[in-house]
Amino acid sequence: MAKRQLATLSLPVFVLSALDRAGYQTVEDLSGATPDSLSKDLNISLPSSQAVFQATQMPRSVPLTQSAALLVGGSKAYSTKLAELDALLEGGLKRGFILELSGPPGSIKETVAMNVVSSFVEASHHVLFVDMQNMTSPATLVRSLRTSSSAPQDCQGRVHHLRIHTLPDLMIFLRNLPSYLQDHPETALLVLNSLSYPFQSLAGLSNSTRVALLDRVKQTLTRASASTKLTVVITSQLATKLLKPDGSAADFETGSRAIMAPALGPAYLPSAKTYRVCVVPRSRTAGVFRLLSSPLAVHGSQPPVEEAYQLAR
Amino acid sequence: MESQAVSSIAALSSQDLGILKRAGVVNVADLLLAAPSDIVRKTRANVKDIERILDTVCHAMAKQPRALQDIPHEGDEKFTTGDERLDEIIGGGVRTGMLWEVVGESAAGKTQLALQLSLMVQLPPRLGGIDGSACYVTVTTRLPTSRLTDIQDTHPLLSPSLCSLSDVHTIKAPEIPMLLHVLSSRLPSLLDQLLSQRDSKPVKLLVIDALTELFHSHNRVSKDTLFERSKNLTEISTLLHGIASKYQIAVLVLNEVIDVFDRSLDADMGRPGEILYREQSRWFNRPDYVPGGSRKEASLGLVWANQINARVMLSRTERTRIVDTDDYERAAKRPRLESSQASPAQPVRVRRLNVIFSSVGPPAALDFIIRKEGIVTLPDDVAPENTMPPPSARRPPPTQVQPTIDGISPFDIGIIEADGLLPSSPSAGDVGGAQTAVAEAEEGPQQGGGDEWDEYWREADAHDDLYNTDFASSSQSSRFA
Repeated sequence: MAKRQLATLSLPVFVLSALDRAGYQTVEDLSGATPDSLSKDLNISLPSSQAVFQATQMPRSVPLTQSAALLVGGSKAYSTKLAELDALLEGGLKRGFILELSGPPGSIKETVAMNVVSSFVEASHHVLFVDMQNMTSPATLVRSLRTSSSAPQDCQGRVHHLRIHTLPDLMIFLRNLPSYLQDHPETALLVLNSLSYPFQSLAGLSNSTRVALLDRVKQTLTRASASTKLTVVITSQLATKLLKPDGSAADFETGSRAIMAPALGPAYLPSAKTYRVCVVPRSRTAGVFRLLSSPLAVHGSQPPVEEAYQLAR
Repeated sequence: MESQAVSSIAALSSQDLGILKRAGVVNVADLLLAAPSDIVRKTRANVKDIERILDTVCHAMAKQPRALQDIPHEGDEKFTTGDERLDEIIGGGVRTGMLWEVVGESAAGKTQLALQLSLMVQLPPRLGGIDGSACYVTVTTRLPTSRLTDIQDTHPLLSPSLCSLSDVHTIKAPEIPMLLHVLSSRLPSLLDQLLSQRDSKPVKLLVIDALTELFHSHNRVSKDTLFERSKNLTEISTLLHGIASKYQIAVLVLNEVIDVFDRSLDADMGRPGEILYREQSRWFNRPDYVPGGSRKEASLGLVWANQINARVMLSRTERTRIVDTDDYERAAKRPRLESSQASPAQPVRVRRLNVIFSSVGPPAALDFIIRKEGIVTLPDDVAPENTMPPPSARRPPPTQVQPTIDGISPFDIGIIEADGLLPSSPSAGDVGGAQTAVAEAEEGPQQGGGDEWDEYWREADAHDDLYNTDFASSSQSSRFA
């Protein structure tokens, strides 16, 4: 974020040219300034100057006064092996926290999940990987672990793999999770790969059933995170929503645009422990990680909190 | 599993079963998806009893996670497509245990590729196969067995001693309920039966040709029907993924294309921070636009795109190549059979194969042509291209345009409500205005008939004796009851 060109921020043109004339190129250049000093420097009004800081999310220095939630998890952060995503997570994923990664087909969410598996395995922890849409086979995991620093035998001994496709099977799994964790106390990471998949079937499900089942997910995750400091990584598909021009919900008759958002909605996650990140491709090889919410706050979309990524080719 | 009866759980006492019976719980699924409080209310049983019953059932039905070190190769089983370059760009071959989609216009080569794979899977491992058999499910067409024979006769890797039509089991499922029945009942029976027979090749490839044909409609459809269709797509997908993982089968679903919906000039551009479907769909519904290429995208929308593990798109281009047998790195193994393209110097239409996304490899693309022996890819440095006569003479009749919102398919009613939940029942009333007939496949050949393969496919014979309600092997003999 620091290197981001100020010219790319969504600010009024007169503000952008004032910044340019005064020699401010990147977000980093503003690090010594305050809204007050900048307004004098640029000869713009204080509200306009404050808008500049808002656009660059300078107040993100606030987490220096770390909340208790962050401290409880312990300070060790597990890397996603993508610096930009680690930055959004304020250093990486910590024990007892939950990361939900959503994105369109073909986006790198499953790769990120495998990266987190590597990080945990390298720290000698055990991992339970639940694959719900055949995205990540045991062989794929083995290939991904091959690049990590630990010996292959050790790696493979630390990871367990399970396949589930249906909602009843998922409910059985969740119910058995506490006793699994008791039997396997070295398990520090649970990956729920394609969690949106079992929930997409509407067959015979009433709304209240769906709510109840999602709530069961929340209960299980909350308890596991509290009792064993279990870290959870969830990958999820997106669904579409039709909107009217004013942004309110629409149907086919009234809608004018379609937007995409995580399929499961936020209600199934304990907000105090969860980071929700959406992978938003901007080309076939680059895009942004957008932070939808973190333990501290739900992040608005104006401006979006995001970090750009670039895939190696 | 869904339909497993609670009475089959040995650990449940007859008292427990009595409680469940009173609650109207017959299957395990009923029990697991119900709220315990509902059961308590219906039966006046103790909450503790219900919780204990749940624990008992869940414990009995638990699936054990397996250590990676015990299964390090699961997911690595793959068979050759018969073309080395193609194998490479799809990740070493066609992997089992996942859901592949091959999407393209009619006569772009989808069925040809599926037929080729139905034979390649049968090869022994030393020749790149996995000693498997194939199940080929058709919807509106019949399995073109004469084309299978052509491939078997002419492809260098194949011969009657190595592969056989009797190892391609076929069935026709022209309606959605029939396909659901085949996938949930008939097919698993066949799979189990073959597994129990020592000298039979286990099924390792399942082809659905073509999924989109099940969703063609000429009628104005209501929002209810659209919800029904989305539901059907996800039901079919769940069965396919279940089969893929349980039996470690490569599932290949053929899909059709629709025209790309061009953004109108006054389109709603949304607010900053919104993820616009219109902008995202170009990364997963179609390859990059190439001048002279056709602007088509996969049909069935995001709901279907979310189901598959890999999407391979086949498209026509306006380019041709002059090819004869010397252009290939391998020699034809037999004298080439007489056909309409007997002259070696005939220009052949070049097609493009795009791996748009894949869970087992990066996006990639290749040129290919269709020959009697199947799909043959071209190296990038082959003889200079020619282009066909001006596009206007050759543009095919456009696929049916769906007037939709923003390019979003009628299938993409996986709509999230504000609180993140799907609506439980669609509101009454028709979807106004939208001619919501789902895309029809392109019909027939290009105008001007410049494509030799269109003729070939029109001639594909239909064997009436193959039409039956159960799987038959494509060589006219054995039936599986």
